[in-house]
Amino acid sequence: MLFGLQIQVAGLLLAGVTFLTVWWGHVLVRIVHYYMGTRPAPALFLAGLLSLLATTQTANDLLAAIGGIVGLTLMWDAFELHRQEKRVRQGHAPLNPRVHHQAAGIAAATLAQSDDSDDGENLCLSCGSDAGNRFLCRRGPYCKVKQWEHYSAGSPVDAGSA
Amino acid sequence: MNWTGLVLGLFSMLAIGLGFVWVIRFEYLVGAYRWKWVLAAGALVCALSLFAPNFLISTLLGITGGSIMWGAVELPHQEERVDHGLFRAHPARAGRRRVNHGTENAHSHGSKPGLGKWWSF
Repeated sequence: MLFGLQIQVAGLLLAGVTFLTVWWGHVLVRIVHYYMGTRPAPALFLAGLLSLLATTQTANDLLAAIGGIVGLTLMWDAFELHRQEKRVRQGHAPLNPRVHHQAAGIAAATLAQSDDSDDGENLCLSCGSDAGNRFLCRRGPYCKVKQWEHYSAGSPVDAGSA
Repeated sequence: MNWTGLVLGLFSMLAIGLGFVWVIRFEYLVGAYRWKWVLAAGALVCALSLFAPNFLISTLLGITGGSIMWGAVELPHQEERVDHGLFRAHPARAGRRRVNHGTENAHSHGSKPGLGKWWSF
């Protein structure tokens, strides 16, 4: 009781749970996809479903709420693994050649097709960005194509006019 | 049979799904540099949930506030995505203030190739 008001702690708790689940869901998708690819997706979906079903059998509402949020997020993350696969193929997420065989093959084929003699200047070997196509790059400032100095504090950004 | 988990889980999925939409719209219409205001708004909703009349309203407010706060920290990432041409840029965007400056923190997973920090998202 505070100033005669009943304080509901459940909302604040679930706000924290939502925030952490979404955050660690992102982390889970990144790391699981990097080391295992999309293979654990059905397992993730089942784990989420089981957690969701388990909440229907609990008597504690707060516990049920936490299980529900975590369960549905896990089910979402199962689909997110496949979206992550797409991001890797587009060069937006890091590629692990020991796991992502197909994506690595696609990247290699793209590289082989491009007949650039001066790879160091016009083609980023990590993200496949060239003068015409700009992808999110895991090489960051090392990417010679992306012209990262555009984003420095002094100069205005040309993203709108490009 | 306890429906609380199912209902709140579905609601949180709805709130997160809506988050995808409003983060894109907010970056387009307002600009990601206002992310701290959004964070404060989310915190306000969380604080409001403390004074809700019952459990259900409190949890709904809490989940909404939590997802708004998540959207706030997602805004700088959205700015990055627009930089890279994955989303449409507002015509007046070049004149706006920015969250990301320089090359040091230009990429959310660090500047080296690979997975980056485990906690980055």
